Amino acid sequence: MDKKIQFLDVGVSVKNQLIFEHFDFTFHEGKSVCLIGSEGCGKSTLLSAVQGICSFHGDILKDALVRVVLRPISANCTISDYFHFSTLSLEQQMFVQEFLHLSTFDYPILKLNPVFLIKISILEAILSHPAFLFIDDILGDFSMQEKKDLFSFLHRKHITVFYVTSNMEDTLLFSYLVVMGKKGICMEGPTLSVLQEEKIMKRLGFSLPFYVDLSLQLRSYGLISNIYADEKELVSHLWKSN
Amino acid sequence: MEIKLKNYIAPGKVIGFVHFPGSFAKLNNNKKISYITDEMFHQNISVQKYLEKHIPSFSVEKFEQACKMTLFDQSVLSRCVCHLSKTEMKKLRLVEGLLLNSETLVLVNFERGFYGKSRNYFQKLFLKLTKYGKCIIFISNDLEFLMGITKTVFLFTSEQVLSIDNYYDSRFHDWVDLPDIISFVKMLRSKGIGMDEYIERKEVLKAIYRSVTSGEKL
Repeated sequence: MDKKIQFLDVGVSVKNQLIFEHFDFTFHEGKSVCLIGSEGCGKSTLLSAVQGICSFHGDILKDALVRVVLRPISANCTISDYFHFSTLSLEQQMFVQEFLHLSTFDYPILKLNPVFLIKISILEAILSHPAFLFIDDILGDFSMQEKKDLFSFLHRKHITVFYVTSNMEDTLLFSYLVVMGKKGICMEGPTLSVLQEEKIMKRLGFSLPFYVDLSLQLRSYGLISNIYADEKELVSHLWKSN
Repeated sequence: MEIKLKNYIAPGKVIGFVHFPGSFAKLNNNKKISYITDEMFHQNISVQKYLEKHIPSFSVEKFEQACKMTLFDQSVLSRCVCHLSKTEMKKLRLVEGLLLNSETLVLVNFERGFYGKSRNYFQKLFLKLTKYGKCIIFISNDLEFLMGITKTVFLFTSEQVLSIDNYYDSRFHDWVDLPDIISFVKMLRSKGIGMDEYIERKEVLKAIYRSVTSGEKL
């Protein structure tokens, strides 16, 4: 049966000040989603509501295990101590090794670089094999390749990701895009279809990913007929007749 | 400075000086430095109380000007600082830096969390602030944001600090993600397409148009 998380008219107010309202969305297992939204529209607050650390109105119905990663880890101990490594099952130890790719786990957490601090937060969340993982906009120190590797790993482990980002290039790592505003969802759909709504996106204050923007401009000049999110495809179509 | 920033300066980080203050010695002796970091606020006090506590001569008029300049929403004055959004927290720190009339603003990953329109706005704002004699220092790994502000950046590698004044410099390659525009132009140049080292999308667009319509071959 299809597992899902349903957001039913979810909204959050803090001290009578509205953060966001009317968020309606059904998040299905196996269909990872990227969420963008203007600054201060409540993206992180939405995740706090999912985690249960902020009060909200409406309903969030979950029929599977859900984990939320809001910030990097901060702990004054080694990785090994943090995870009580010796008490983990062999399967869990292998899972940790596969995710972190470290030769030893005796590093003090405070001395790790920001990428590892976030990876450890994510690892903590996924050790319990959740069906759904919500990740806030905290991957700023990751390279694009590190992000690809992370999402590919989560996909292999059958963890469906709901990823909040302010980096428009990241949207192309997901096939489904949701655009959030203070009054709920402004737009949603297959990522390239949403991004092609150039006027709406710009009116909402978003810039488009480089290749999408370039494709749209080149299409308006009649040089190509489709939108390409990949440089090789774009180049091969641009100079194909030569 | 060294102590305050040690957690932020790591391999792969780029420091962009918008207005170089002359020397590091001057910078170190400079008492008026504001750090606009991306750390969260944890205090349980309102925005107004926070500002009154940190700004010795807090004036509503100057506050309103600073809010307008930084796009900080004044309606959140009564909200607890720990309930602000991440971008509001950064704007509040910037408001604080402006109200303190700090000569130097050190911005750590400031651009994160902001989208295109706001990013463009802040690029223009920081350039404008340098005209008023402020020294603006960015610590970031977002070359695309820095490209819009400064030509010279300092790249921290694991062994040394490199001064680089061209975003097409190959020394960036191992340490930070190149903006797509740079990777794309580099790739086209390597394939023999005539193209200068552009950093603006519209220039690339024009160059592609010229190349394709003139029948240039890969």
